[in-house]
Formats: sequence, structure tokens, C-alpha cells
Amino acid sequence: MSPVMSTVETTVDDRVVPEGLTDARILIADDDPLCRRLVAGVLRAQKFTNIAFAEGGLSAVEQVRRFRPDLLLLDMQMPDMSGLEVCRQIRAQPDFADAPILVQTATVDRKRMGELFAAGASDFLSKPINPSELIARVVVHLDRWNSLRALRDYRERISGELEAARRMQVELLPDPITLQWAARTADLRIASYNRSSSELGGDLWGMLPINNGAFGIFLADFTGHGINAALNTFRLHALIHEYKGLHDDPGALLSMLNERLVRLLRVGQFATFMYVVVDHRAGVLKCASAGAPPAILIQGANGRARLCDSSGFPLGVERGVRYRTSRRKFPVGSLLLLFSDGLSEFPDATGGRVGDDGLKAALDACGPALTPQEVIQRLCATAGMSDSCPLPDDTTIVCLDRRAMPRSRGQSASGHGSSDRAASQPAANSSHGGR
Amino acid sequence: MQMQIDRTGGQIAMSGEFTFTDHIPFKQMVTEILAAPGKAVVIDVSKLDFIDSAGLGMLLLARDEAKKSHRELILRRPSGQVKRMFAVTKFNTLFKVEE
Repeated sequence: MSPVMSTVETTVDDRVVPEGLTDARILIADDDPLCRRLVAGVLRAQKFTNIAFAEGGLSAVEQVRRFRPDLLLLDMQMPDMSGLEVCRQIRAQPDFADAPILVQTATVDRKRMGELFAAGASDFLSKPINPSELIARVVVHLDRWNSLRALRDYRERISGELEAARRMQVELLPDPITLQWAARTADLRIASYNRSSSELGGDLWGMLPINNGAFGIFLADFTGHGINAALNTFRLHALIHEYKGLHDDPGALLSMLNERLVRLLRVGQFATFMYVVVDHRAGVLKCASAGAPPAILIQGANGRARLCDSSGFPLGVERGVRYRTSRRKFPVGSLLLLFSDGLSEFPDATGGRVGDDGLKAALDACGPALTPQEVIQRLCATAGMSDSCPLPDDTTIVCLDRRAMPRSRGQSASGHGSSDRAASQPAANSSHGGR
Repeated sequence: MQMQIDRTGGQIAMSGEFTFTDHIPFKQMVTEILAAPGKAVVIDVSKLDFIDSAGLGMLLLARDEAKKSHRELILRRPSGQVKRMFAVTKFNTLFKVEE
């Protein structure tokens, strides 16, 4: 039994309950019928209409499940189950883990109050009930609960959309079958690594089949990361495929992409870009770069790794830039590594960065027995980057390998399947090749 | 990244690492220094150890802002990684760079 409201206040609070709140579902749990009626009366006077009742603790737990209230007004002293226990049981239901529970109690004992809050009560109202206080607290808690739910819904919606966008971005990357085909036709192996610092990234790489087994590989990195940079990768992808006629001419392709991007991008946004046409028959690479990190090239079986000059204005900065194509030998036994600065500038545990020269040295230390996939793993390890660590910047690595392939001999079409490329997913490697 | 601003001299001295996280303070500094009267704006980058592409993007924005107020933007004494980045992106031809 709980004390009945002793005084009925005649002074009505002037504040009007916000409109959106009056249809909130409120459950009143009290074993005393008079108490239930009084509390309901106060609420109805403020235009709350969606009210349900529970006559005890057990029925309160049951009603929470069925009525799914937005707020519970719970009496502490009920014969069948204590308010404390009701709180605990209700909080154990996932749907009601955060909803407001206002406990009504006659005893304001500090220790008891502590237990109450520990059991999950949101707030308390002392009995006898003061109508203004009741309404004020109900409004505050409903408001808070609504905001929390709205934020949660928003977050859920956004993360759903980001996930859809992420899948679309993954689809921009070369598909495994095309890669496999290109690698086998050109009698080399291709491995790649691509991971974003968040759901969406500003890196993009791709393979453009040309003819006679020749193909182009590009690697782009937009300023910043996240949604803005990611949208630009979609733009760039569309532009690159618009200029198919230039896929065999790196300098001309870059010059054209630059003219288009200069008009599309806002000041301060740009992309570094590296494009290499691989002609295995001629044993030649044709390269053009727009301020990308230098490609690292090992020429021939006895070659040492060296950095290829990659200087040039990034795409989208200056109008009228003419990019030049440079040619390099790429005989059997060669290896080419392309990477975005997410790799060379990754800060390791001590804040150090491997840098272009560090990568070059690490590549020299990779023996010819390593598959291109293993080469990439070595380089990541050298940079201090593990599959599970968060990345401060989007990271892309592409390795083209024409070295002897002792391990893949006898294997039919080598290569692991392409794997997912989300920030949350550690496996971001894929490798393709044949012989 | 740390910044010291000399309004009357039209100079900003930067040190540390210039990356995406610095965009708000950097933008404020540029607005401030362009509000003060003067001719050239000098960004002293001699003590800057590191710049990423977001940092380069912010320099482009500063250059654009300076142009709008008919001021010249000068980058002073880049070294190390910053100098290499300016070379690889040809920013050393886009900006007036004082050695």
C-alpha cells in the first residue's frame, strides 16, 4: 500500500506539454487503484491520452512487453514484486533498456535511492505526488527519450546508406575475373590491397584492358577521405571510362582528366594520380603521374628497386597542364609497385613513417620467391600496418610481378579470391595471376 | 601543428605536422592575417616536419583567398618531407617559394 496523494493541487502549471509528446504511451504501475486514477487524471488533464495500467509488479513486467510504453511510472511498494525487482527485469529487455522509468516512492532514503538507480530507474518522484512535478519530469524524460530514439534511427539509417555506398564503391574496383584474365594474358601476377580509413574512401584503383594483352593500371588518391572524397572517386571513375580512346596514352589521359576535374572540384580538392600502361610483349611501361607517390620499379631479375620520378601537378589544381608520358623497360623478371601515401605515410607505433625510401629498401629485401601478395604483406608489416589496426588514411597498393614464379608453376590459375575491402574487414588483399 | 602569427609583419610560422585536423585553426589564421593590411603574406614552413595532401589542399585554399584580396602568398624555406612534397606535386612552381 502506498500513501495516497494527500493534497490535490489546484494551481495548474501554465506550461503546455509539447504536442508531439501527448500521444506518448505511458504505463502506470501501482497496486492502489486510487493512486492509479489520480496519476492518470493529472496526465489526462495535460492531454496525455495513451495511458495503460498495471496492478502489480508482475503485471507491470507483462504490460511493458505488451503495451511497449514510452515511459513507465512505477510505484516502489507493491505486494507481489518490489519496484526494484521490476526495474531489473524490465531493464533486461533489450527494447526497454533505455526507456525512462520514473519511480514513485514515499521514502527518500539515500541508500535505497542508490539501489534504485543501480537497478535502472531513470528518476524518482516522491509521494505524495505533486502534479506539476509529475508533469515536468514526465515531459523531460519523454523528450530525452524521443531525442535518443531519433538519433538512433538517424544513425541506423545513415549507417545503412553508408554500407550501400561502400558496396557500390567496392564495385568500382576491378573485378577478379577481369584481373585474372589480364594477368594471365600478360603472363604476370597482380596483387592488390585496398582499405579505407572509414566506410568510404578517397582512393581508387583500376585496370583498363587495351589490346593485345596490354592494359593500363591507375591509382588515384583524392584529398581528404570520407564521403566527399568518395563521391569524387565515382566522378573520376566515370571520367576515366569516358575517355577510352586515351587509355593507351597516359600523358593525354591525365591532361584530359585534369581539364575536367579542374572544372568539377572545389578549390583545395585534388587527386594525385598515377597511370601505367603495361605492354608485356614490348616489355615496356608507359607512365604518367600527377603528383602521386613514386612507383617503385625493379627492372629485370637482377635489378634493384628504384623510385620512378612521379612529379606533376595533382589533377584538378591548374588548367592547361600537359602531362608527359615516360617509358621504362619492363622485361621478364621485373616488378612494379604502385601505392597511395596511406602506406608510405602510415604512422607506426612510435609515430615514425616508412617513407618512399623505406619501402624501396623493404622491396629490395623481398626475395623473388615471394608472391606479389606476400610482397604487399611484407611492405605493410614494414610500415607497421596490421590488418586490424585503424588506418588514418585510405591505403591502396598494387603489385605487378613479372619475376620467375617458382611457387605458382604447376598451380592452375593461382590467386586468392577477391576479398572485401571495408575498413572493418581486415582481409583487403587479392591476388591474380597465372602461368 | 603549431602556428605563430605576426599580423603586422604578415607572417605565419608553422611547425610540427600539417594535416586535415588543422584545417579550422589554419583557416582562421589565414582570415586573420588577410584582414590586416599589408602586401605579401609569408607562411614560414621551415619548422614544418610533415604535410599531407589535406595540408597541401589548405595551402591552395590560402593561395585562393590571398589572390582574392590581391595579396601574394609566399612559402618560406620548406625542408625535408615538406620540400619533397612540394617538388613531387610541383607546388614549388604554383607558389612563390623562398629558399
